[in-house]
Amino acid sequence: MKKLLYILMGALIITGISCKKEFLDVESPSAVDEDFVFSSTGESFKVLSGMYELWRGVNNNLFYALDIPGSDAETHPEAFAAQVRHVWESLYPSEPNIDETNFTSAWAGWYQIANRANIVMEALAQKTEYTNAIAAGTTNDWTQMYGEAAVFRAYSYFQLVRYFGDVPYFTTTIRTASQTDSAKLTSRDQIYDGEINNLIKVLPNMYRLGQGGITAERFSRTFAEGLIGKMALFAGGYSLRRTDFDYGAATFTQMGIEKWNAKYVRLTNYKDYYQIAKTYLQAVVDNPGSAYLITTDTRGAGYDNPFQLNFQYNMNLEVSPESLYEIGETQGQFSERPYAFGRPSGGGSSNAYPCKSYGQSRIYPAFYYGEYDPRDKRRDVTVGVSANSGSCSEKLVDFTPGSRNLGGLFNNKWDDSRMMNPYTASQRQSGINWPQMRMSDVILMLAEADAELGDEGAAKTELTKVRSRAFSQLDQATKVTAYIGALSGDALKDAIYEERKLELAGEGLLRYDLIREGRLPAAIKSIRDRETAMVNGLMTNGYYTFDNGNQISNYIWVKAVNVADYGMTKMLTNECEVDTTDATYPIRFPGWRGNCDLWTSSGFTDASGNRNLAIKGLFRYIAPGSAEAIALEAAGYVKTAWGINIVNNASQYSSDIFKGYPDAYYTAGVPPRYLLPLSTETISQSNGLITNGYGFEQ
Amino acid sequence: MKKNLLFWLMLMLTSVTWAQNQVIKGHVSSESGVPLSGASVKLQGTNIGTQTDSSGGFTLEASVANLKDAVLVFNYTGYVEQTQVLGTARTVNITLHPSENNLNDIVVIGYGTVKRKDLTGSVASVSGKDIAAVPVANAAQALQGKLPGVSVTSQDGRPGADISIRVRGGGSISQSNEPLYIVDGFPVSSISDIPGDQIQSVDVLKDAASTAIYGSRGANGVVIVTTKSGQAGKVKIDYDGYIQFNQPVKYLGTLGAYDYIAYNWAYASAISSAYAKAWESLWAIGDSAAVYGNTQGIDHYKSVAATNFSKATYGNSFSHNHNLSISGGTANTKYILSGSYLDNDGMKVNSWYKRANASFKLNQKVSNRLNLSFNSRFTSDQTAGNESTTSGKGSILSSAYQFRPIATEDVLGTLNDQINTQLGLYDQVLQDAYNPYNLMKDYLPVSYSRTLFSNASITWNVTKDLTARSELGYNLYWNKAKTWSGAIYNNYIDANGDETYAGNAAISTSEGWGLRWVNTLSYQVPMNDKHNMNIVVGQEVNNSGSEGTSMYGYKYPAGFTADRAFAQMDQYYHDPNGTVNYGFSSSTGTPNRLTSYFGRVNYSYLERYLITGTFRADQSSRFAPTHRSGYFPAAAVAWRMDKESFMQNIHWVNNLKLRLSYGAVGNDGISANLWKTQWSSDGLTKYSIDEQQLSAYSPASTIANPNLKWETTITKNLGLDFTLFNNRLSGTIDVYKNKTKNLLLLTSISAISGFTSTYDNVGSTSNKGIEVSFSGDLVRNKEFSLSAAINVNINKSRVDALAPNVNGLYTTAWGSGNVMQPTYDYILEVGKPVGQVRGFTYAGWYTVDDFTYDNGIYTLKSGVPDIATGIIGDVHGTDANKPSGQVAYPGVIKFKDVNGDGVVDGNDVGIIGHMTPKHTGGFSLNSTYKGFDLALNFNWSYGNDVYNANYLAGTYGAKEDGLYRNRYSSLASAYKIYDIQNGQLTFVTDPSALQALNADATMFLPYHETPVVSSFGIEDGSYLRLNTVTLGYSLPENLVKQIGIGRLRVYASVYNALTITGYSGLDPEVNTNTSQGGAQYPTVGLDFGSYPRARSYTFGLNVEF
Repeated sequence: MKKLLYILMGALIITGISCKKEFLDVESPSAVDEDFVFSSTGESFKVLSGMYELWRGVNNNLFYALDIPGSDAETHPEAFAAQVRHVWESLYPSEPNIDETNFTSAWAGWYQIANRANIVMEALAQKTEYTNAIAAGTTNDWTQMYGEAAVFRAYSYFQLVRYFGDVPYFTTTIRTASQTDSAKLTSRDQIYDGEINNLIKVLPNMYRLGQGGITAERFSRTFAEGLIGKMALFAGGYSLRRTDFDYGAATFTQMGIEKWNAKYVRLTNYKDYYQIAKTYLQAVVDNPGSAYLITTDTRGAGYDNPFQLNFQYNMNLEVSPESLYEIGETQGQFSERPYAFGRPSGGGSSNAYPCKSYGQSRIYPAFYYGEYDPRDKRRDVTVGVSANSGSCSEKLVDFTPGSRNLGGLFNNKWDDSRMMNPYTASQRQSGINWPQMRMSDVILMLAEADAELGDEGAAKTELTKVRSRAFSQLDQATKVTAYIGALSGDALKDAIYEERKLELAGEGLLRYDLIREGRLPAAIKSIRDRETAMVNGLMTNGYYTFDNGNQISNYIWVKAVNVADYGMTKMLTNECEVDTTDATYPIRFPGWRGNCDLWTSSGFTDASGNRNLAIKGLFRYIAPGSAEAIALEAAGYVKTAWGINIVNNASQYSSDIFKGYPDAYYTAGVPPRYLLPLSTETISQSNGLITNGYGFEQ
Repeated sequence: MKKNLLFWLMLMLTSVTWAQNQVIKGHVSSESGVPLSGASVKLQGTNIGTQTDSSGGFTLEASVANLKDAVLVFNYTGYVEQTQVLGTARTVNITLHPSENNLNDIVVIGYGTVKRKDLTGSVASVSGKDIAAVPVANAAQALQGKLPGVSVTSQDGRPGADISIRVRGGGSISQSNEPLYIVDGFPVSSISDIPGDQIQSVDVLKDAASTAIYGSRGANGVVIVTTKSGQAGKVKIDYDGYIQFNQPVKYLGTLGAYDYIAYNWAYASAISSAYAKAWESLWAIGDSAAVYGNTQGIDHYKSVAATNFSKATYGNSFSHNHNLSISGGTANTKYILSGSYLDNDGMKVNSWYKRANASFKLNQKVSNRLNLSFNSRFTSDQTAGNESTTSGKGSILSSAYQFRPIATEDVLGTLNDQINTQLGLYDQVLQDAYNPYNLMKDYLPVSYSRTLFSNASITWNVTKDLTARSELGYNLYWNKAKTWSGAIYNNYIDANGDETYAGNAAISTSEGWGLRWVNTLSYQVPMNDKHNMNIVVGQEVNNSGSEGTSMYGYKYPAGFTADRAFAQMDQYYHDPNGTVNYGFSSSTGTPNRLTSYFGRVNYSYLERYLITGTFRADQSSRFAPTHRSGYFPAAAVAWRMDKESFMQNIHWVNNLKLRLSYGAVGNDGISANLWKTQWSSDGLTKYSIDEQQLSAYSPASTIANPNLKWETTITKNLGLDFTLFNNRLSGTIDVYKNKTKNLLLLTSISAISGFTSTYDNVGSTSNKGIEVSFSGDLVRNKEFSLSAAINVNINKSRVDALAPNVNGLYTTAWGSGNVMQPTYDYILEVGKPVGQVRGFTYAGWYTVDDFTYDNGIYTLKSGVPDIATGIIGDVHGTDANKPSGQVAYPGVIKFKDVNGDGVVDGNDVGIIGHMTPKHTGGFSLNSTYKGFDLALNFNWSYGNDVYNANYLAGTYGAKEDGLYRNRYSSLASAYKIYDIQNGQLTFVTDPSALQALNADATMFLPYHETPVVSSFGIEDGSYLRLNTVTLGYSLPENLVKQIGIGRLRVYASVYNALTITGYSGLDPEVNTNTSQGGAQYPTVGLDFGSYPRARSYTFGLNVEF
């Protein structure tokens, strides 16, 4: 009995040594909860910082694969077969893998940002500082941040719709996985309406650029208005739509035939959206805050190119006054400019002058030679013919597919050699920002909206603003006033798109302009025809003459020179304003090339070595073996392969262009299949509510 | 809690009544009359007992009541148990006889011990002696091949390598499959800090009957390590030590000088003439031969020596190990003090593992009823080495062979990349400053870890039947990691080769503590002789905490050494342009807390029918309040058939026991933060405003799941233990099935949620298998003995169910996740084991016959499947000679068009690698002849594939990275599209010429740009390894006694003596990184960036004073 007692008592003790319930409620001060995160404007902004950081990363891959190389002016450097991304870019000559990481990570990234935007908006809406300001119609840091979150959500859905079509749409925060169980695709019209209206609601309580310490490295009211304008143009533009999806009461104007259960259409009431675009783009133009279109070059003699000054701000690691929003990259951390989107360099990964730049952003020769007016000051700023070698010298580009100095004409808007403080410690870390919207884009969109709505006078006024700064004072009358004055109707609309090309080439905006304006099928046919004609001309005659008189030839003559021998003090060249007979002309023309003058401590001085290239025959055919050629060779020029490498890689410059949209499609009116597929995961986790459209694999 | 404690103490002090006691004395000796010290003497059916002192004597005090009808039980390891009816005698002298079986060996089980003969669960044991016989740094590695049902795999040959122990396969996928390690009663995270010489025994609990007492932590088995204790007797000093010479087993062959130059000349030319020109001017070949006056052209290099840089970075090394222990005691006080030092120098430059250890154990008998014990162990170790991998390449070591094999003085052309600018991107494989030896010298991550364990217990024999025990354990750890990367590693070298900065430094520390308090009551239920019943109930509290800090600085001034930078972290480069070159962070860990109650009942009837029942209830802080509790019951029965009357005449059976068990165990190995939304600091963003980087917060990317609960494993076990033929043959056969349900799986969720994944209890896995072990004494002679043991494990693991939204795909990303095809090279599939490799089926290469040839263009014949665009990327050098869009070309790697749709694309990806062995096992031979002893230990693995990603990474083009590398020697006879004729590289297009050039080709043309996973890289990974051969000699006792030594043995052994395998890589046993590339689930059998094992020659000494 006593033993039993012991047992009983022992059991009692052991049961008794139970701890309070709170013992198991643990937490670490390193992990913070929402209450803390949104406790002050300083802490809350750290959440937005995390979103800006995500934004910096998430947009890049598809932009790199599709936007930058896929228009009628812009292309890629490597052989068609070399990269699977060329399959997507050229409208699917073969079916894509629907689970490509580029597609799935971009998709996931934008949803992540949109959900975080919902978290922020829900949290800030609880703040009395916020609600008081809204009630009073004033702006403070809380309302500004609320607005930034709204822009993040709108911009994310804009990207999703632009790349994927109709997508699931959430305007409340997702906190448990089951909230997505019943998600379906939402019509793009509803998404555009929802997001445009939300932006219209929040923007009165946001700061304009320059107010409240807001620069173009954050979302401002000015940018929000520009974004509304852009989204409205897309909402009212052509897009590829599913025929196996219910768009409700929406009615459409169709272009061409139906294929892949899809059609290329725009809303019948599209002008309503153009009107919204006009309203908000006009608001930007009328009250841009601190932003402005750069129309004068403050750098003095030898420059005189306000267009180039915009990019020079980027290369000086300063925010350009022309920018409404730039992704803020950091030197020593990352930048695709100029590594992928700029002047290529053959340098090494580090300690090269400059380091390697791959050069993903390339330009069609037919655009460079055939579409720029030879007097247009934007041409040489936009397109380059000589790459950086990596040891502070120029190297002629080669049309053979490949990267760096291979791969043909390149985007010259950003160049390591032109940086105020070039970064040579490592490649791909220049720190140059990614401008996502600048004033001339806004002005040309406004011109487009005006023209579409029938206000041609206003359209021409806006068009003139942009075109005017591209030409010197001498050329204004003919190239600007007379040219624009003669435009009306479709010719005016075409001219506005053409101006976008000349102004924005290399910035990755044109592909989706072509799509939304319904221009894509014809543009594909046109660029392919013009490039093919060029290839044939080179093949048959050794040269080809474009309508504007420019000639591209199989061979040009190039000489490596020392600029000091020509009385020049700088290796880096600017605007070409010398006479064609001047001895320095072949070095200075085309302009905006040469090398950086800052690397003298590394032994790269203007007086040592032949670091610059004198070029002859770039726009005018010189027959090999002709007296002129012999004389050039006697003067030290070397006959160098130019167009012959286009001939040697003929398919790259003809049939491979938009290979998935052959001429037969154009003739038949087949819709351009430019959208991306939804992934297996999206479909399989949708409980049967989401399917792939546009003929993609399920 | 305090109040309860007080109550407990008061109870202890007041509730005991001391009865009148009597004293029993005696002496225990062996047959030869040698006193046996440390023998256990116990009153049967009670907890009253003692141990003999150094002269074999004992004194036992017990109450008159307890001594009535008492039986004394004597035990000594290796001797047969003896019982003696006490009667009226008060002095008992007894002689013990050596045992010929292990039935009376003490087996440590959770919260107690049991004799092997009374065991109802499945427990495998190995003695400390067998562990110490394998001269390895980590005792866990010495278990390899020795325990049935326990698979031991070492990561690879690096010093301080992780050793993974899997008991019956392991049921988890996302969660840890490591067993619970218990050292002297205290749970620890690893046993790598315990010197093998200090281990008394290792017992591995395998089925729920034995592990359920550990409840939520028992699902993966429990490894119980008992360290040596002091014995009563005179002071004993033991020294065990060895020195070890380590030698490489194998190197992979690389190209010779001529082949290296010829290969890259052709490959460079295939990419662009500019690269080929750069190569020509580097070696003064082709057109550049004349420029540099190299009259022989490339032929010059036929007589030039080539270095394989693997040999420069990995070679012989020397290690040594010493263990000294002092032990002794009286019947009341026993102690052991041990110290050990291990210095294991790595084979790779700048890699080592060093460990110093001190431990102390004390056992103090306060009275007949009260025992105190204390033990403490301090270990300090440091590990140096870096085996991190770069995609497409591997580790610095595994890619060392890629460096230019020709010495700089043999370069006839221009190596200066300021002149030969195309070389600029290839410094890492061409320029001496960056050779892998220099890189290794220039990067030194050292991690230091210090741990202190202390454990104290008080045992109180409340009555003769009731024992209370309270145990308090506390452990502390302080870890520090210092990483220095120098100027070469970071490219802080200017064009002149001078340092611009000295390097980067980082220091991080983490420290933490763990507290454990256990109280148990064990009660020997008084019953008559036929029945025996023992009950243990207990309660346990675990608590822990941790914190960490880290800091780093970049760009220390030129001339700084690593030590100087570590001493002056604030001397980093302050960049006037605003680039942030420093950072620091800190964190506080989430505490892990566990409160538990448990109990066990052992009952036996007539020693024939044994029943065990256990139960544990755990409450863990890692789960949401509603899901904290877990209950884990288990039961086992055993039947000792040899005790049945019908067996009494079967004399060749000495022991026969059938065991059956069933139970549930849990796995709580998850982070405590998964059930609620957490935000945390991201540090500085790369995004900047006005070039100023920002601080940021982000929520976790896994969405919180408040419904998370325990992963539960149900285990069923049927076992048979037998000892036959006069104890000459003994063995165990176990059949088991473990089923893990509510599998805690990292589950991807639809990205539209804004999150990527969540943890969820979805799916289940199972392991079923058979384990057989036999050991036999073949010869038993006084002078000569020979014994053998073997164990075989057949385990079939299977994923039984996955949630519908888990597609099971995951990637190692060894070839860069975005580029590699297929992106996901591993898959989890229902009905299959964890970790199957998927990819294309290799089918040789395209030949000229697959094409029609017209005017320089090879067009694929209809019916021959092409490879879709984007699978293998550009095949350099072939574009101009095939139709646009066609990938195939003579020599290009060919894959099977599995689905027969006429094109090789993503739809042709299938399972190509089965990474789980059909069976594994080990066998050993032990022999003694006079003073000599010889032991051979083998282990094997059969039927598993190895995914040789190292080889795949060496056999594709890798355009930018792959140029100018040295290559594996097998590439010398790869398909060629360039020939060298008259010292010039010539592109060959003509079909007959191409055919003639490649008549002896043994491999495809390795020019494709993209890494592809195919069965080309899947190999049979079966192996049989002679793990250790040991020959020892013990000097005759009478000889050594004269010089005051109790025992002296010298031995020599070879570790990793011989491996028989068909695997072409360096070692088929690979477990380098089971989450390569951040893989979600285990990447079983992947060989990528591994550090090869050494063959070690060891000379050792065991002395006892």
